[in-house]
Amino acid sequence: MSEIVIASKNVSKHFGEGEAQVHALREVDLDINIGDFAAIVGPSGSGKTTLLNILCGLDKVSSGDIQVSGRSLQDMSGSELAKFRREHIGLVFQAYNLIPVLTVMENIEYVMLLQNVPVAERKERVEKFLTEVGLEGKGNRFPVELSGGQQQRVAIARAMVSHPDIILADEPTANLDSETGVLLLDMMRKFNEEFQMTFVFSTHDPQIMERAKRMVTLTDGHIVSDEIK
Amino acid sequence: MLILKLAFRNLLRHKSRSLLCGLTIMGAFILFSISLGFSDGSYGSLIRMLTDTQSGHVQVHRQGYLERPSLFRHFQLSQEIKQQLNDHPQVQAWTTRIFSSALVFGEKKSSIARLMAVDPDQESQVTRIREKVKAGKFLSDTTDVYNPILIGSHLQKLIQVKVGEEVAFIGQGADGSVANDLFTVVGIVGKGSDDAESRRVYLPLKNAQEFLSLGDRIHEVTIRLDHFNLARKEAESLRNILNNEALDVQPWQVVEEQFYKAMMADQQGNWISQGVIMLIVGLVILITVLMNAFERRHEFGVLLALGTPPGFIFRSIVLEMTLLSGLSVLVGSFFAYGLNWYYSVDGIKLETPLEYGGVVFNQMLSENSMSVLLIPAIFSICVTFLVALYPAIKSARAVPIEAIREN
Ligand SMILES: Nc1ncnc2c1ncn2[C@@H]1O[C@H](COP(=O)(O)OP(=O)(O)OP(=O)(O)O)[C@@H](O)[C@H]1O
Ligand SMILES: [Mg+2]
Repeated sequence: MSEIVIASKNVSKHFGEGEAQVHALREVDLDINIGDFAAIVGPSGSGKTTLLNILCGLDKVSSGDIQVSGRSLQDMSGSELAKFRREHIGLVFQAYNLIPVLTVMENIEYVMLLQNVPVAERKERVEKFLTEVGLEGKGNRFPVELSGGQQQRVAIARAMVSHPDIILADEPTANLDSETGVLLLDMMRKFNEEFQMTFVFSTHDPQIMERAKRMVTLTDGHIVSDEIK
Repeated sequence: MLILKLAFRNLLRHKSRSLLCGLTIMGAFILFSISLGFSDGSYGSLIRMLTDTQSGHVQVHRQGYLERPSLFRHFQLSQEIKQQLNDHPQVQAWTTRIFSSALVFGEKKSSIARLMAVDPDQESQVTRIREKVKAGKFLSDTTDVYNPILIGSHLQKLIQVKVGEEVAFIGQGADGSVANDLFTVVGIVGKGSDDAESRRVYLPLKNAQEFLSLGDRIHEVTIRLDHFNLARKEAESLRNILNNEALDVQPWQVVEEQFYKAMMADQQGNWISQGVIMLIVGLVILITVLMNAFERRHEFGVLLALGTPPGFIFRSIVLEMTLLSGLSVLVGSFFAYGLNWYYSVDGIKLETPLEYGGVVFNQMLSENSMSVLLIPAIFSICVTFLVALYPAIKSARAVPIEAIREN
């Protein structure tokens, strides 16, 4: 059996109280293994975003537990969670969310700066990932000077550069045209294979789903299928 | 430094907003500095007026005299003390005085009067006694006059005497005898208002020593220093040099305690207006920081989601504003220094002269010093720092997913 990166144990999440209560997740059991390239799919409102947020500790479970290398996220304080994300998780957002006042290079470098990675190593890694995502020579540009697809590639480089255990991406291609989206996903798949980088992403797009190695389907907060292709 | 880079770039991001906020801080800083300059300047004039006309900068008495002045609390100025005073590098000039009171009789009327006996030559080096003479002549400018005196204008009206006329004094001698003698009015001092000198009689020290049977004894040594600021320090130094238990050496702040306390109280009033200036700055900064922090909520959410420690976000916001404030103060310092310098040379002319304690001001002068820059600088930066705290804490404590959702 392969090694588990993050385990979701009987996780339920509801928003609101009483009549207005929404059950976003119901008793979700999910193990993410090293090397996974998993798509979370399901209709709108099925709980995909909620699940991803909970997996990285951005949101709290209502019941159940999230475990990362034997530790429970539930016990961590705000700054412990920040440290946890800094060290173990790479995040890619639908809206790219690069830091507007930093250049491409500085954006990629950002987490490593927080981690106090020595300067020489930082520069080397930034250069490497700039090339990997096909943006060599664009390191000194600011995010507004890039197209959406290019920005998202910077975001993926930023997520990968600090060698996290897992990269979580909530609809990373939703803001891109499908051609660009597919290219981006192929690139992620390449990194998954080359560097054994674990990816979990949500999507609506069948073309994107096709490229996943594992597909977890959510409906109304339940996992209704979990298939490995 | 990542945090400095972020702070700088974020300031440049909203150039006009940062500029506006910076200009406000700068404007307030300059205003504060100039108001301090003028306040120091006018208190300086007041102090100079007092020390130049009356008290000098440091005084020496017999122990206990300041608390309860008495004819009998006199002392002898030894040759050694004279030498020490002459040798002291900060002492510009010094003079000796005697105080007493006597009944003064004119032709028709009489009154009680305070006598102040001065050494005419030395006194005019320490205080501007010569300038007080409004009619007649100064004590040392007359010859062949028996017991010359200067009489205060108020007293002069009271006992109805003129320059050249004689008055009789009756008082108590230091040996317990009754002192009485005739004196000749050679000049009138004071403007007839209620100030001390218009109720006083000035006479030469020698004549007073004779009249009061004091021998070569005196009540007071008045010392003029290079600057009134030196008074406390040099009083201390003189106390050590003279090293005499029987003598009490005090700066003008102690000698003229009433005046000094009133001045300090008055000065406190100024802090209120300066406080208001700082309050306005605080508000402008608060609006700016709140605007910045509010707009960037989404961004802070992202930074937190990426694993940025909340403390880092807190520090970067505080640093950003403190940087803006520091830069504004730095630039403002040049203007403030220039303006203070300009107004210290050429003050603001007053349309209607101000009178304060019998002293007339027809121009307001500023006083330039390190503290008129330093105090407002420290205040401006501290206010910025304090005001930035709340938005910085709020932003650092934001819940990342909530903040990210805001767009
Ligand atoms: N902060 C919230 N407060 C209240 N209800 C919420 C909140 N976040 C999500 N929900 C609800 O939880 C359910 C799951 O939402 P979630 O965003 O996880 O769905 P999703 O699968 O990501 O949908 P989409 O495909 O539209 O992004 C929905 O019914 C949604 O309305
Ligand atoms: Mg979603």
